[in-house]
Parts: sequence; structure tokens; C-alpha cells
Amino acid sequence: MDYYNELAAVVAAEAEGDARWLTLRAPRVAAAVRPFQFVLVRVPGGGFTLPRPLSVTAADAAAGELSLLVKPVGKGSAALCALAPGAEVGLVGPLGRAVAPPPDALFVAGGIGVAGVFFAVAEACRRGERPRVLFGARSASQLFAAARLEALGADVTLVTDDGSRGEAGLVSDRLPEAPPAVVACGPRPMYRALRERLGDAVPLFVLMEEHMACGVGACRSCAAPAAGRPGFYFAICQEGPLVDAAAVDWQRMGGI
Amino acid sequence: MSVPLDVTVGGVDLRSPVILASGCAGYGAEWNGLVDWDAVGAVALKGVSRNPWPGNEPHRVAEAPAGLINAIGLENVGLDVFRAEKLPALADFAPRVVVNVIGRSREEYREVVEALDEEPRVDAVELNVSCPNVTGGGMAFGANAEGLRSLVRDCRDATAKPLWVKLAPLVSDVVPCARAALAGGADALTVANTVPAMAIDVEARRPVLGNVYGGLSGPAIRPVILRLVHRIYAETKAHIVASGGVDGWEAAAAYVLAGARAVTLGTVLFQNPNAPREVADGLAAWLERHGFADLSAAVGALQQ
Repeated sequence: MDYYNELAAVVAAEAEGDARWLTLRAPRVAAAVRPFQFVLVRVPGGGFTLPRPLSVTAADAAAGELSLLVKPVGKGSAALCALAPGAEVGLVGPLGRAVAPPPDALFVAGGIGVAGVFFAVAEACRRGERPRVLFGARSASQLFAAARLEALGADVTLVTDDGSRGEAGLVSDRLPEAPPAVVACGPRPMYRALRERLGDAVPLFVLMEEHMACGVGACRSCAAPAAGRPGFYFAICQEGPLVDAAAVDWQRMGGI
Repeated sequence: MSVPLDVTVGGVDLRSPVILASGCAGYGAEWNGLVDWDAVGAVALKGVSRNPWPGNEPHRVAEAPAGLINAIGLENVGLDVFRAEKLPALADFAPRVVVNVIGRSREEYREVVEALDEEPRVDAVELNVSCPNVTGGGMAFGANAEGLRSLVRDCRDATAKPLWVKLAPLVSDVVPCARAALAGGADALTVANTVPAMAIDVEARRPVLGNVYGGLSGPAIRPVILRLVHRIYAETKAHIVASGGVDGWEAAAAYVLAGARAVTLGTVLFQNPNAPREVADGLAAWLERHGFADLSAAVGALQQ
């Protein structure tokens, strides 16, 4: 496999609400990475045994740069959010499967989940398409990088639980009539609601997340319960992170 | 001129004392492109059982201070798929191949060891008698000296391959276990497996791991394992593969001085896939600085 272990320089660290849009100079990974793939980023400062898996949100092969959208949810992500231009951070990638989204797929993002679909939306726009994106969050402050998403030229609908921006409600209540397919990245309750609303008629693909260690399928840490194989699991880093929702045994995901 | 790193461990000639640790190493090929295989003497492949094991419920890993707690649960593809798909993928692989073997009964261990005896690509078998994450196997054998001796003997009789035994660290005295494994016919001892441990998420008020308990690895356990290596070497002079928290050449050198002939790298790979190269180079430079002609000259070479 073509993986690269690069020491990346932070080119820019821009605020997106309380998240950060980090642009890193990592020429080999930037040239190779495709939508839905991720990198394992080593948290600087010591005290962290595990690297953090992060979706590559944008990549510019010509500039040798890639971008990550990081929300501080724990000590590791907070340390990454504190990176300033000029700092260096180690990363390995591109990891996970590069998958082409189904034609005319509707993209659905929940909160920081926009990080997982942004690259695919950007690529579709670059091809001259105008992909539909349904982007929801609890409130306006959690609609991370919404302006960047709109600037891509996609057909973006913003939705907030509290109506502080865009339409009020949940993304699952705003689904258009019979989309050909849905590609979603967000919290598990959002996936549950999408599964319920879409039923079996519409193919649903979701980005999976789990504690991860190696990123290459060796250690079997990032397990997700496999549908049709009672008791067994698949490795998210290897089969995903974008997987057909029908491949996941949602009962064993605790019903969500 | 750097000091050669080749060394014989438990009947296996290694070109480097750096071994990728079972579990972290997967089936070897996963690390292609990230690990510099030229620096690696052997890969200890993931534990293989007779039938596929599904592994534990997530979460399977939790970060710990200077370490990692895992409860993978020995997920593996089982003997048949291992032989049909995983071993052939290592046909052109330069490092030695050590296959870790797991079982829920003595018969299962023996059956897998017997089958691997027919595989030319397998250079050694490592009996895992010390995994903390599964019930009814693993550790149950590792904690009882007589049970261990007789399990090792059964497996010894089932294969002509070099036989290594991976010991449990958390026993009241490791030396009787080491002696039992050697009496059963072990050629080398891997010291040691992970240390039983736990993590709790205080906001969720739940154990982090799906399996509740797991095994601690990484630098956190290194001083504990270093003592075990020193004890076993002092008492038995056995061939020892030190396994526990090597994150650089200094840790590897300490293990060699304590009596190890090789070291495994596991948890460090997640932070630094280039660690095997760094450890091999650092170790060679250290041997040269201290005037050792080769690696075996440094084994147990603490100043009196």
C-alpha cells in the first residue's frame, strides 16, 4: 500500500467556531489522498500513546497541502487545535478506502461530520456538478466551515435544531423526495434517524468512527459489528471509514 | 563500521534483534510501506486459533498514561484462512516469521502447532499462554507452572520448529513459570504479555473498554518487565525476547543488558512506524560505543 509517514508543517490554523481548520504541508499524502480517506495524526507534546484519526477535509496536490477540520472534544484534539503556523506534526496516510460516492448522492453532514464529506463535495463541484448537501447541527455555532462549503458551489441546505441558522429541525426531517443515494457523516443518532427515514429503498453510506491504533488493519482496534456475521466485526480502517450502512449490525451498535 | 546485529534466539537466526510484537504486527503485510523491513529481524504474527475468533465488543483500546490498554480479544481469521491467505502473502518477506498460537484447550493449541509444523514459511511458533483478554484459555495456562509445563510439552511433541513461550507478567513469581516452560521444551521465552488493567470514563461512568478489562502495554510497563527479564535471565540463562514498552534504542539496550537477546516493538508502532529502524540503528551505535563485538556479547553484560 502507498502510505506515507510525513512530518507536516502547519501552514495555517483558522478558527471555525471552536474548531480549527488546519492546513498542513504534507506533499506526499496531499498528492495521494482521495475523498473519504483519513490520516493518523500524532498529537504533539508527549503523553499521547495513540495518534488521532482525522478525515482529510481538503487536499491540494499542487500546493502539497491538506486540510483537517478538528473540533476539541478531548485532550488530544484540544492539543491539535492549539497548533499554530510553523509547528510540526507527524502524520501517516492516506489511510482507509478511497471510494467514489454514488452518482447524484445527497451528502448529509451533522456538526463536525462535515469534515468527512467536505472533500467529496469539493471534488464533485470541481467536476462541474452541483451536489446537494444537507448540513445540520444543534445550533449555528456548530455549523463548522459552512461558509467554505457554500463557497464550493454546492447546493447547501443548512439546518439547526434550535433554528439559530437555516431551517429549524433535524436533517432527517429535511430529506428530499427519493434521493438516489445518501452519503452521511455525523453522530450515530443521526445515522439511526436516516436509516429509519430512508428505509431499504435508498442506499445509505456512512462514515464510521471508533478508537483506532494502527490505521492499517493490523491491530483490529477499530472494530464495528458486521451484519450477517453474528458476533464478528470488521475493521473500520480497512473496510471504511465509508461503509454501506447495510454492512453494519446496528443492533450490536447498541441500537444506535 | 557498525556492529552487526544478527543474533540467534531460541533456534532462530535473526538479522536484527528487532521483532514486531504479536497483536500490533497483524499478519505482517499490513505494515508494508510504513515499516522498514530491513531493520526487522522477525515478525510475531497475530495469535492464530483453530477456528476464527470474533474478538471483543468495542471499544477495544483506551489510552493510558505512557501506555495503551487493549482488549482486542484475539480476533483472528482462524487456522485455515491463515494458511490459505495470510502466510502466502509473506512469500517474499525478508524477516523471520514467528506465529503466535492461541487456544481454549490443550487440544486446540496442539492442533494448530501441528498444522504449522508443515508450513515452510513459519520459522518459529510462539505459544501465547498469557493473554488477559479471553476467558477459558490463554492466561489460565500461563499462571500455573505444572499446567504450563505440560501444555508446552504437548506442543513440543507436535512440532520440530523452534518453540517460544510468551509468559504472563502478573504472577507471584515468574521464575517457576519460566522454568516450567523450559522444562516443557521451550527454546526461548517472550517476556512478557500485557499487564491486566482497566480504564473508566468518569463522565459516562462506564468502563472505557467493551470487555471492561484489558492489557496494559507501552512504556508504563517497561520497568516491571525489565525486572522480569533480569530475574529470568539470572535464574535460567534462557534465550529471552523482551516485550514491554520499547520506544527507542535505550529501552532495547536496557533489555539486552538485563539478559534479552531480542526485543519486540508493538505499541510504539502506532506513534512511530519508523521505530524499528531507529531502534536498530541506535542499538548498533550503542554496541559500538561500548566495544561489544556483536549483540550476543552484550546480553546480560551489566557491570558487576
